Amino acid sequence: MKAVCWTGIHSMKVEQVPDPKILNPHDAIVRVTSTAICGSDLHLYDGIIPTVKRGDILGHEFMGEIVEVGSAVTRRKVGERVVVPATIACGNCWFCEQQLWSLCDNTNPNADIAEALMGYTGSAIYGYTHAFGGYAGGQAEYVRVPFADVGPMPVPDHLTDEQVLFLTDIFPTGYMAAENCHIQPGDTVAVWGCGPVGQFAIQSAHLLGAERVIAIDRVAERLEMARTKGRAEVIDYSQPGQSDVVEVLKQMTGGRGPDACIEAVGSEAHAYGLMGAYDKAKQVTRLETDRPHALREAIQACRKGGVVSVPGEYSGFIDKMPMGAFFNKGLTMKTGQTHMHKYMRLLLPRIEAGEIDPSFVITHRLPLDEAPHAYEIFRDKRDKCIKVVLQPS
Amino acid sequence: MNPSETAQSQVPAHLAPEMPSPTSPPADAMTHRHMAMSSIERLTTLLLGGSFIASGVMRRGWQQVALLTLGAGVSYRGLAAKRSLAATARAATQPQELHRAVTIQHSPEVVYRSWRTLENLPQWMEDVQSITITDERHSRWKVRGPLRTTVKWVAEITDDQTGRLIAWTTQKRSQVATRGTVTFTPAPAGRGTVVNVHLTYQPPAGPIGAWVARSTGANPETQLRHALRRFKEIVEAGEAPTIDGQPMGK
Repeated sequence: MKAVCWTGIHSMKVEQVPDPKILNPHDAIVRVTSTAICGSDLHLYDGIIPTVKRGDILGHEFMGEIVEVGSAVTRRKVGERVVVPATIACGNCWFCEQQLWSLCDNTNPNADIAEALMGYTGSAIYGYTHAFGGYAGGQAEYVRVPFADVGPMPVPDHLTDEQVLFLTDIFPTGYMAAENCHIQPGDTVAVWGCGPVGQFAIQSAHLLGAERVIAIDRVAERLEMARTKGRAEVIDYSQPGQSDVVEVLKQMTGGRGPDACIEAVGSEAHAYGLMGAYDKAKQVTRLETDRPHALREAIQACRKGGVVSVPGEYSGFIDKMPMGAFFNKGLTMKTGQTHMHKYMRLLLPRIEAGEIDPSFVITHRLPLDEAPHAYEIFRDKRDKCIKVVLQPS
Repeated sequence: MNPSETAQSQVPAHLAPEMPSPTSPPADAMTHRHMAMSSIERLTTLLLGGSFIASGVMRRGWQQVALLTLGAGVSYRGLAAKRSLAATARAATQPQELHRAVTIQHSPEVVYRSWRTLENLPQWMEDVQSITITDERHSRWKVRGPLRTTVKWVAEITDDQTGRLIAWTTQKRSQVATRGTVTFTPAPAGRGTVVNVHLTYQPPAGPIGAWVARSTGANPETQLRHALRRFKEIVEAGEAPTIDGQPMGK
């Protein structure tokens, strides 16, 4: 089969590899009909997150048709059309019982690496480094899906792939980020980053009753999408007079600050000026693994007693964390890999009811063969690229 | 009362006194601790360190870091000549005590039964090749040792309390001497069962065996950690996760 393989930093290749096989009794094999490139795949593309190996098949946003099931699979059947959550969960451990699916104890074959890095391992993630299990991802014609009774969710035929594909990751991720804000009537929510997760965080904040949503970015077409599709007020920090985001937010919110701040940027934040250069230098020399510019700004901007919600991805260590501001303002931080299994089941009915059509975020539809080009334009934000969907056939 | 204390007090008296205390190392280890290196040992150590560094230079990534670190460490030993590798190996042959805990989301009865079904042990103890049950209390074990050797022993269950505790020891004239207890204690508020394993372990094949086992990564601490993880995975999820055999590119 054809698969998108990581062959080095800024080097993706579509290669011919053997078809996946059932390896464990709870496995299934899915023929992929649609798959997408996630912003977090770009961290692997950029070589920011360690333990990717040459030849690894990437991709954790995919859906398709079940073509084979293992001997212990009882609930899923060959022929079913399913979306597959990006994280892999066993369904039986204490964390799964608590609906904390992304913290599953039992799916990472490389738990040793994760324990060395973090103390404990969370769930594995498809195509997302060997610290997260090393499972072959879904940017391929076929993919092996472990614990097939637990993860894959059947979707109704009248919804298109594009309407349901993002239930695998970015819609639940934006939604959980907004839910973590505990939005109250009258609340203003500020969202850093208008990439796909930011767009879904904006929409979800509205779904959860926010009075106002303010979106922060510097890419014109992303701000435009936030404004027109997400009904957000926008701050373009590349514009003169808007570069001091903390001050602009303060004045937009009556001197009070946003009640909740969603940081949908993560470890490769862009920043102008001295602080931006400082973080970039430290990351390049491996003195810090993550560039936390947006996180610092969110902590600074948040109103006293508010919530900083972080769907943006971090892998290691950050520097100059404004702990004094965080402590003295009595803030709460909520974060983590998304509990996809819970939210995809919660959000499918909202798509069916027409409350949201997640396909609004797609800007590019390309054949799987063009994945290397797709990674390039997505990373460089060229050609007004916001979200790429790849079709294997 | 602390549940683990309850479990401790149930350890049979005949096992407890034999276990050496970790705070007072046996006299043998003490005498070797500051033994100086002979010049031949120094030369050998330096050559060994040099060969690690040489092979490290030719590799990349984690292997490079590991080999260079190892090479630097061994060479430093040779240069500083504080304590010989042989003395280190002798110290490693002292009985080792291990403790490890894991929590499993099932009742103590289910977890106990999974452990007590010895026939299933090779599923979660990766180095065990076979277990032959000879009677209710005795079993013959064949285990992969370091460098493709096979180690055999006969294990005897010395205490067996359904849903609570299993204690065992290897019989005399076995190739390894090991004693252990595993306790199954209910965790509060539906959080499953806490499994505590205490192990006293005498490495096989004397000092060389211990040194080889350590340097090939097959040390009992790692083995116990992996065994308990797999045990939990199999009891909770019904299978141990794997990626062996999946496709990858070039």
